[in-house]
Amino acid sequence: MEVLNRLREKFEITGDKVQRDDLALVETTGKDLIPVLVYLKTYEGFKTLVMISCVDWMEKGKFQLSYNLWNPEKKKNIIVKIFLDRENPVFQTIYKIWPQAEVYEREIHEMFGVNFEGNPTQDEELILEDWEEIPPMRRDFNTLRYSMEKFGEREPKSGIIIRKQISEQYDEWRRK
Amino acid sequence: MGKDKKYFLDEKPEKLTYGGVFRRINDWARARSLWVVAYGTGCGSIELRPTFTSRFDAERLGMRMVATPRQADVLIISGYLTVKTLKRVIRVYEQMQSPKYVVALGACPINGGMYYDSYNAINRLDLYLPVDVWITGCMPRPEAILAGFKRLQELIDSGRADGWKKYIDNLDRYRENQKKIIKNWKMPNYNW
Amino acid sequence: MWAKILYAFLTLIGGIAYGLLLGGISRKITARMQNRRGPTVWQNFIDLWKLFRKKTAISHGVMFYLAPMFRLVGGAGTFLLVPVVVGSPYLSNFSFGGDLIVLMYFMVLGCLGMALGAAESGHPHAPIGVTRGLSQMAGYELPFILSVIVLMVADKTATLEGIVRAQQGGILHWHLFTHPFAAAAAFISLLGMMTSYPFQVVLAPQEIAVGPPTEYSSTFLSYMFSGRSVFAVAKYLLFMNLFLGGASNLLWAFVKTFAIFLWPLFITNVFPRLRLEQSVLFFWTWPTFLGLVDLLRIYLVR
Repeated sequence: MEVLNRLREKFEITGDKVQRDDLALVETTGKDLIPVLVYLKTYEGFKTLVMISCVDWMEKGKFQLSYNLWNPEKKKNIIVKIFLDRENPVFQTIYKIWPQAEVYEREIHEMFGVNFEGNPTQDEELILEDWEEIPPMRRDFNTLRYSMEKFGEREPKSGIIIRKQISEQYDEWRRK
Repeated sequence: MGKDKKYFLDEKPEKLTYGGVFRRINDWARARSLWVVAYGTGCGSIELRPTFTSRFDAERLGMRMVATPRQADVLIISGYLTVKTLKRVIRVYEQMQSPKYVVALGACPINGGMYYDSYNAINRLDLYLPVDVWITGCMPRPEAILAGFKRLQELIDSGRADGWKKYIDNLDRYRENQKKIIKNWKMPNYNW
Repeated sequence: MWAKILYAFLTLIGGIAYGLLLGGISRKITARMQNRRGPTVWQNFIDLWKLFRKKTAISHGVMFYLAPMFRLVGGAGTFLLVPVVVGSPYLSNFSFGGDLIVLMYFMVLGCLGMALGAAESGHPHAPIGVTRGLSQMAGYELPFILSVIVLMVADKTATLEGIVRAQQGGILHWHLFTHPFAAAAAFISLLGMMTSYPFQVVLAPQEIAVGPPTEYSSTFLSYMFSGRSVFAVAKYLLFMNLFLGGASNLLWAFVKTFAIFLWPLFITNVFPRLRLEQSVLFFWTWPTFLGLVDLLRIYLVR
């Protein structure tokens, strides 16, 4: 897609890939993300923010934020990715560009612990009420053990033993 | 609370000693007039729509959807139950008036089902609410749901559906379990 | 006197039973129209018994307790003022001279009591339902009262008995045919009174959780339930006496009230719902216009 060429001229693009005819992936830096989004919205017709998603790359020590945009006229998708530091995940909000981003950012804050500066509602509880552990979608969170400890189980003894083994294997793999 | 204090009662509910001459008629009428509170907790509520409309027509068993828990007899836990929903379900259950029954739909309330390792879905419903009828399946078809309701009718008719009595008898134990999960209990101790 | 009270009481019991049966029949007909089996016609009796024997554990204040009684008394009072069979010593209830005006006041009583009680319940949906109900009442009362005035002026009487006597002597003497515009206005306002479907925004189970009776349960609900059925029967009887020439025996009363009962039922099952301002606007334009036309006609003919 020729959008990529224009993006490469104007911004610092660290990687790109054409996945399908109508889907392209662009990787940029945190400094350039908001200019890229504004450019894509105003000049290239990517008017809709489909969603924001987050991926936990635990081994690399990174969080990946993906902004999925949609051009309703040309029927094209573009995904803009950035990487954040996993120890201190802080980024700026984009809810002034797309108001619907507010809820996505709130959910990512709740599930991954990424901090969006300037988002007015991100500290409110969306799904998890009175959550006390680390954010549950982080990969170092052992959901099986948490579920077994908190909610109890009804399985026969053998099933419980198998589940405990699985959860221990998970812990071991995490330590590596 | 404060201003709303008069709308809540904190006492433990007294047990309804119904019976005597009318007991047989009461059970007969209760079995044939089940009003279900229209409240869906999970994916199973999608199966309740065909059950109650033209295709499967649960109304011929005398059942009806009602919009408020005050007027309902049956609470259906339709599918997985998250912690956030559990709080609401407990309130709905306690607001229903006394001969009241709980039907649990699907595998999730039994042992967690496919959400057995979820951080947010509970694994066993009967720790928190007394369940009268379990309907297995993921999700149960409307035929299975109707069969479950037939079973509930049989139980009520023979006077064996007494989950609500168990709830009153073992309220402390149920409450303890509920408070283990719901950390921030912002509700009155028993809300009618 | 005591015999009259006894007969009226028996008639009232019969009226409640007939109303419950009509409710069951309406559920059955609705079910058949939607291509399903539906409950038995006796379903409402079972529901009533179950509700009556359920436990009640809610406390909301005095008015909350009184409102279902208001509803029942409003319905029963209206019923007792309407003669089932005019001239019969057993079935004419307590209809006395000038009773149409008393009757129209009585019909409002149930709604007002309900409004007070629902407001006491403290549920946010209840005042919404009450507001809608009272506004809609202001809508349908106007054409209904207009058409009643037409009949009162035409027959020079304010009693139901006089109005019935004025219609004797063949089917063409019925007010349905002698005053068609007034009859049309009244029958349209009957739809509003029965909260049948185009004007059903008062209850709205999906949006405001049945509105005023949201917080009512068990025994309260059973009183309201029976009050509602007897009120419906009273309205059918009233319309029968006003427009269909009354009844000379009990069989005719059943046939005619059943015919009137079918009218809102069929409208209910095929129409969508109007918003509140639309329904009030509707009542204040077309039915009111029809009522005024008949009033003008009577004035000119005289």
